[in-house]
Formats: sequence, C-alpha cells, structure tokens
Amino acid sequence: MGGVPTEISDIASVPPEELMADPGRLWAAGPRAIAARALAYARATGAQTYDEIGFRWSAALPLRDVAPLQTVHRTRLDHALQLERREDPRVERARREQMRLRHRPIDVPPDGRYRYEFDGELLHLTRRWTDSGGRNQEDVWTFPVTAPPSMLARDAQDHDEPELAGYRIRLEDPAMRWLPLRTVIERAAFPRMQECREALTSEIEPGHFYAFLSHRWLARTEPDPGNGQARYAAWQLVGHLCDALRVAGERGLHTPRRFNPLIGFVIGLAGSALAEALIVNLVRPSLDDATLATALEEIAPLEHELADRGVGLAGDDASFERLRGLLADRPVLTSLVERMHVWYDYSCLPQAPRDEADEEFFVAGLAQLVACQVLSRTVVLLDETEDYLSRGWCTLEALVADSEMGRLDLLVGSERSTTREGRAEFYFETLLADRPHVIWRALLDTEVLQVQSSAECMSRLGLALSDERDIPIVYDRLRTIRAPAKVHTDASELWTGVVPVPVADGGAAAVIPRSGGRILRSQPRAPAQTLDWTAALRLGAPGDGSGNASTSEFITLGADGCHVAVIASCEGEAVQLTRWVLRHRDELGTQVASVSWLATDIAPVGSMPCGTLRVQPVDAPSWVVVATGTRLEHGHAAPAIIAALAAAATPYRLLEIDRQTENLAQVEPGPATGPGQGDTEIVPIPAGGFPVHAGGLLRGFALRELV
Amino acid sequence: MTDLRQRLFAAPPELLAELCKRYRDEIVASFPEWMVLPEPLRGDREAAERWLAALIRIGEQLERLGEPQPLAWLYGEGRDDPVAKWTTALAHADELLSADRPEEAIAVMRPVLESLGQSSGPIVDDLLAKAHGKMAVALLALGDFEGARAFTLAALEACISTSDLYGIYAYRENLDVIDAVAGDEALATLRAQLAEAQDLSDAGRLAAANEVLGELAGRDDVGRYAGKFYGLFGLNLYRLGDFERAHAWTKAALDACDQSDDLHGMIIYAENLRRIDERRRGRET
Repeated sequence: MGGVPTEISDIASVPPEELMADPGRLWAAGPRAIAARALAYARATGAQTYDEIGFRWSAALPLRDVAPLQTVHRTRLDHALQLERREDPRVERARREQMRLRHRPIDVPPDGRYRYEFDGELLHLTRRWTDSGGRNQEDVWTFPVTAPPSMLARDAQDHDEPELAGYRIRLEDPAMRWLPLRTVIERAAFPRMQECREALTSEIEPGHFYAFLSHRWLARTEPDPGNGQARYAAWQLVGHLCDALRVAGERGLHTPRRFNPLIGFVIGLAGSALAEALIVNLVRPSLDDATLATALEEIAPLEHELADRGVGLAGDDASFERLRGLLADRPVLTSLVERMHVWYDYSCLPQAPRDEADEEFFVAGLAQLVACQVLSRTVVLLDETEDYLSRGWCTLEALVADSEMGRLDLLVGSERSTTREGRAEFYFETLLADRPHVIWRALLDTEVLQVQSSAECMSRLGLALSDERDIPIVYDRLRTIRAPAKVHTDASELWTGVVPVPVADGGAAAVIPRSGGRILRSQPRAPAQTLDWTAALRLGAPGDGSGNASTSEFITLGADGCHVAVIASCEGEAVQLTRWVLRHRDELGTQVASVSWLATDIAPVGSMPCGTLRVQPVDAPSWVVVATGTRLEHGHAAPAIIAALAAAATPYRLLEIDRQTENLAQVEPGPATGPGQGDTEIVPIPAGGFPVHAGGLLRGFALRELV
Repeated sequence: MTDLRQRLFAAPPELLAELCKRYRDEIVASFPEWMVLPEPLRGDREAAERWLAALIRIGEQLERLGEPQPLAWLYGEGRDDPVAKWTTALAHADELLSADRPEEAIAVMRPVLESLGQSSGPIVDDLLAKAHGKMAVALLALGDFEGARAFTLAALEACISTSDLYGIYAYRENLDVIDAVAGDEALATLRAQLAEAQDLSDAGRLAAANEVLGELAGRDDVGRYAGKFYGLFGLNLYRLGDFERAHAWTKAALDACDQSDDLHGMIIYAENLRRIDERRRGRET
C-alpha cells in the first residue's frame, strides 16, 4: 500500500470499541493521515476476515456521516448496546412523541438554502438563512411524506412497484412449486414438503402473489422447530395486505404511488414496499371499488392492532387460532389471502430422506432457486441478521434479490424487544445493505486481483455451509451476480487512485476542483448514444481473462486522443473497469491517449494495489468520464472532475456504465465558468508533481487536502 | 504587519497565492498573533467566523507552499489550543453518550465546563451552550431530571443570549421532553392526544385528527402546547379547504407562540398564515 509505513503506535493496542468512543485521538495526526492510519489499524492485528477489517477500519475513523459502513461486528455491538440501554422508557416515549409535537408547516419559505433528512417517517428540512441582523441561522421544517413541501412534490413521478416477472415469463419447470399461504395458516407451520405435496402449485397466475421466503435454518434437520417463522411470516403477510388495502382505499385503487427521483424516495401516501407490491399484483387485479370498500370495512376494526403489521400479534398466537379467527368472518380479506403463495425451501423442495424421484426433483429445484426469486418477490425473514449473513445460501439469496432485482423486503423473523413498529432494527437494514459491497470486494480480490483462492474467499467472508460440497456451488453463483446496484456514499468513504484534472495556462497549471456538490446538468447536452458496457460490471465476462493485466491507476497509451477517467466503488472494481476500457476502447469511436482510475470506497476491506491518492494533470482535448449513473450524479468525485472540466471549457462525454441504452452523453463546454469561482482553483503544477497521499484521503476532506 | 494581514484577508485566490509566496516567513511569524481574535470582534459571531475562515485560507495556501505549521496551529496540533481541546472533549463525550456511558461522559465534561466558565468570547458561548446541553442529556440518562432540567435551561439561556435560533429550538424541545417525563398524568394525556392527532393528520385523516383535537378544546390546561394545538387545527382545516377557519386558528397559534416566546413556532405559523391568506385571496378573486 504505497510502501509507506504508517505510524499507529498510539492506537495499535487500543480496542476498536474504545477507539470509537474517543475520536479525539484519531484527529491527532491531522486529516491527511487519518485514512492511512485507519487502513493500518484495520489490518494491525493480522485480521483476515473482511468483516473484521471493515469493523476496525470504521472504528479508526473520527469522521462519520449519517450512515458509515455497517459490519457484522458493529451490528453485534449496536444490538448489545440497545439491549443494555438503561434509558428510562418514559424518556424514550417522550422523545418519540416530541417529533409529533413539533410545529408543522404547510410549506417552506422560498428564501434560504435547504438540506433534508428523512428518518423513515418524517422529512426534516433544515433551512440556512441570514436574519435581519446579518447572523447565519438555521431552523427545522418537518413534514410527513404524505404532505411534502411543494418543491419536493412537484418533481415527483408515478412510480408503482413492478409487476411480478412470473406473469410475463412462463417457465415450465415441474421442480418449481409454491405453497399457498392458506396452508401455512391451516397447519400452523411450514409443513415438510413430503407432507404438503398435494397443496403445492406450480403455475404462476396473474392476480396471485408469490413471495420467495429467504430464511435461516434454526436446526439441522428442520428450519423452524417452534413454528416461529411460520407465525411471523403469516401474520406479517396478512398485516402488509391490510396496509395495502388501507393505502388503496385512501389513495385510490388505481392511483399510483409517487416518487421523487431527485431525492430518491417515495412521497405522498404510500404503504411499505411489500404493501405496494401487493397493491399492484394482488389488490388491483382482484378487487373493484365496491369490493375494496367491503374489504376496508372488514379491516377497519383491525387498524390499531395491525399498526405494527402483525408483529405483536404473531408473538402471541402460537396455535394460529387468532389469525384463523380473524380471517373467518372476513370473506374479501380471506379471498385475497387465498391468492398468496410462498416459496419456503422446507415446504417446496423434497426433504431427506428422499427417494430417487425426489432426489431428482431436489437437484432440479436447487438449480431453479435464482429463477424462483426472479419470478417472484424476495422476502427475508430477519431474526439474527449476523447469523443470516454468515450462511452461504442466505447470503446468495439476499444478493440475488438486492443486486439482480434491486429490491428485497424485510420481515421481522422472530420476537425481538428492539424492533419498532414492525420493522427490523435500522442497523440490521444497513448491514444488509452494505453486505453486497463487502462480498463484491472479496470476489474482485479473487477473480480480478487474484490474491486468493475461491475457498479462501468464502472463508474470509465467514460464509458457512452445512454441506461443504456446496461451497464451490455457492461461490460460483455469487461470482455471476453483477456489481451492487446501490451506491452507499458517506463522508467516510476512501478515495485512492488518481484524480485527473485538466491543465491550464498552457500546461503550467492545473484546474483543481474544490467542491463535489451534485451537478445540475445545465450544460448543453447532445442526445445520448448507446454503448452497452454493462458486462464490465460482471465477473467472468467474455474476454475477461485476456489482454492487459495492469493494475496501474494511470496508463498512457499515446500522445494524441481523449482521456478516459474511470470512477469505481473500490480499487478492484476500478482495475476491472479499466481493463475493460483498454480492451474495448475502440468502441468509443475516438482515439484514447490515457486512462485513469479513481476508487471511492465505502468499504476498503479488499486488496489495494495502489493505496495512494494523487492529482494528475491531463492535457487532452476531450474526456470520457466512466461510472455508474448514480456515481456520476450523486457521488462527489464525478461532480468534482466535471466541475474542473467545465471550468476549463473542456468537452467531455459521460458514460453511464450500468445502463444498456442511451447512456453515452456528449457535453459541450458552456460559457467557460472560469476557474477560481469557488468550485475550482488554478494551481501551478510543482516541479516534482502534486503530492502523493499514502493511504488516500477520506471524502470528507479529499478535495480540500488534495493539493 | 496589520497592513499585510488586511491585504491577505482581502486578497482573491491568485493574489493570495502570490502574497503568501512573497511574505511567507513574515506570515508564519505573525500567524500566532493573528489567531487571537481582536476584542471588538468577540461579541460578533459572524465576524469571528469570517476571521477564522480567512486564517484557514491563508493556512491552506501556505501548506501548498510547503509550510504546514500555521494550518496545524489552526487545527490545534502541537500547540496548547483550548478551543481544540474543548471541541475534542465534547466529541468524546458525544461518543460516550452514544455508547450509553453517561457517567464517563460527565467525567469528561466537568473540566470542560470549568474551563469554559473561566473564558469568554463567541466560540466559548457556543461551546458552553453545547456543553450544558450534553451534560443535560447525560444526567437525563442517569434519571436526574432536576439536574437535566437545570443544565438544559442554562443551554437555552446561552442560546437566547446569542440569538442562536436553532439552539433555542433544540433546547426547548429537550425541556419539553424532561418536563413530560417528570410531569403528571394530565400532561401525559395531553401530549398523547396531540401526538395521535398529528399521526392522523399525517395519514391524511384530517377530519379524524380534528375530532381528537376537538376533545382538547374544552381543556383549560393546554398551556405550553397551545401553539401546537391551534396550529395543527389550522393546518388540518387548510388541507380540508376551510381557509377562513384555518386563518383564525393559525392566527391564534401565532399569538400563543408569541406569548410563550416560542420563536420557532412564530416563524412557522407566520409562514402558514401567509400561505393560507394567499389561498384565501385566490378564492376571492
């Protein structure tokens, strides 16, 4: 890692938990040394597992935003803390109440600058303004998402949950079976497949709802010995269905949900994502306004007790009598429940001991797991997240849903005192969100940087499989999943590689960006062309193993041509994308003179062939900036580089590498904004080049400390 | 040297780079002196912030020229800088509070409070308010409601004295929480009903929300929540399209906030009134 030894004797022996509680000592060496020291600390004990490295890295950072990297180690710590928390319950209740007792505005005033925060229920807009005395002031304007301020409402678009793919794609496979939810409720359990074979269905019918239940096995021979998973799954599926009916009633049966793409979340009246999926796939095809009205009458008395979507009642209904009683005199609700089906491995695949026919069925069914997920809706029964994510099959299922389909619903999987309103704890959700990033780095280490074998990869990920023969199967499936679609950005992300910048003053100076704020694309932009490079985001793409094996962060190919700036989620991915660019550069339709990469890494747990950060002035007549769409627009690095290009009046193209069509946009320089206007600065290039930051810089001060 | 400082403070980026290059040694020698905020600026938070920002710009420019010391001084490195020490200690206390270790947080904050009490200036006022606020949180976690209330009041007073609106808003909320916990059944019921009405309003069930509020109308102990009560009634009526009554209730909310020195409430209901009156005028025309 740059070959520079990093001095951490002052913190090397301090446990991570202590370090987290005393961020002052982490500032001691100055902002430029923080990343290098955190990287050294992360690996100081010889930590091998990716999770432990991530935990130690995160503990050694004094700078955190709202959502730093979440690891299994950290989740355990947070959960233990929450269980031991001594806060008076009256204080907690008063705090939660206080949010609702804030004065509520109709809209925000037109003056001032706003930043917003969404806490899962309420939108808090903090206004910065200058009062009549010339003082800077801040105040908070709180809104429910059902009635957002006009500036957020006007950019919203219709955005329903998608239809199940199973309605469009017919897959004739006898090994794919679905268990009616009614059967689970009748039998008060997930029955063993051989005991419910006659109830299983194989067709996916429009107007019916299908959920793939991902869960962990609680015992070696049966997954749900106390029937807790069955109880929690059934009650919550019914709870979310009631939520769906309520929303459909209040919003209008066919009125779509609204979504603001600029801020990235739903606004207006909406149910949970699962409830919205039920509206689209079950409620709308099954009901009309009259039957919906009847359904609303049926569920009206349940509003209070199902406010937590069934979690509380699930805990007390061991025999399912209460749930059966609830459905008994509610014919419309019951008719909808009868159209709900689940895939649960124990009930849908033959269990050992198996005869020959069942063995064939089992093997064929196992091969169809991903198809089952793709055709339905993946729902994770979350109880012990740390354990769930240490299971190989569970992890694979969560990743397929998250990366391939971009969505995954969470249900509370067991009784937990720390859940709120029927939702899994926040840190469990963030752990689930960050896990794909960690796994992606492990796969890149194995496949691209080739620092370990696949078995070592699985071991360092801490993925357990009860049958060791499954290890290569699960690994092989993991490596076929594309790079995580979701981007997690935070002030604590690590920048390494090269920040390429255009030159000024005939090459004597460089245009240095100083701000990474989101770019509003106001520059003239030609219609986007199509260049499908999405295969670059998958491992093992055709031609992957051939050609250039360089890991260099700056590659010169010739004197003339454009510069290609790659921005990636980590060094491994940066190397993968750069190699792709080198192999496919002819498809850009112009000569390429040089290629650089910059990694902006929320989870720097993987191997780092570079491990440093520097500014590289580039004298090129045009540029291509390559990154995922979200990273181009919302990450800080791409907007910073684009700001420098705009200031230097350099034409550039933006290539959204995760889009298949209309993803290569030419941006002509507008009227030169001119450097030195706040976002950029012209800095003379020193004789020996700009400084090299060993260990890189954290995003929080990367642009300030760069040169 | 004052002349050099003034030129540096006013210089655009290119000139600043040039001046720093030319007068590098003089600037480094004078920098510690410039770090002492001149007396006339100490009561003016804005001016103090501008002063500090100018010093940071100079420090960064010098660092680019290979002279890191002034920036290091500003960040409190290698120098006995009390502000940096206070800030670090408060950050430490924050982390201890997050880790549910209030006793240790108090132990970290006691010397900070003592030291801040012996100093003065805009940064000190700001830090003192924060230190009092954190102390209150720690005491609340330990169940010492009286102590928590006293420190919250001190934080609130410090914010009122510096006209820090955000601080006033935050510490008033904290005070509400403390009083709710230590309060009687009547207060608990009042808060619960208001919260229920707000939930109903948030869910778009405006008439039901006003029904709950209607039950409160007969109470004569609405007291400190009068602004919230009237304001929510007004907001629901506005959304129901009854602009005349919405105006009346929102005006009552504004007056109630005025009487209780609730600045945040006054700003919000004044803005709500403006919106309501716009709609009223729109209907008239």
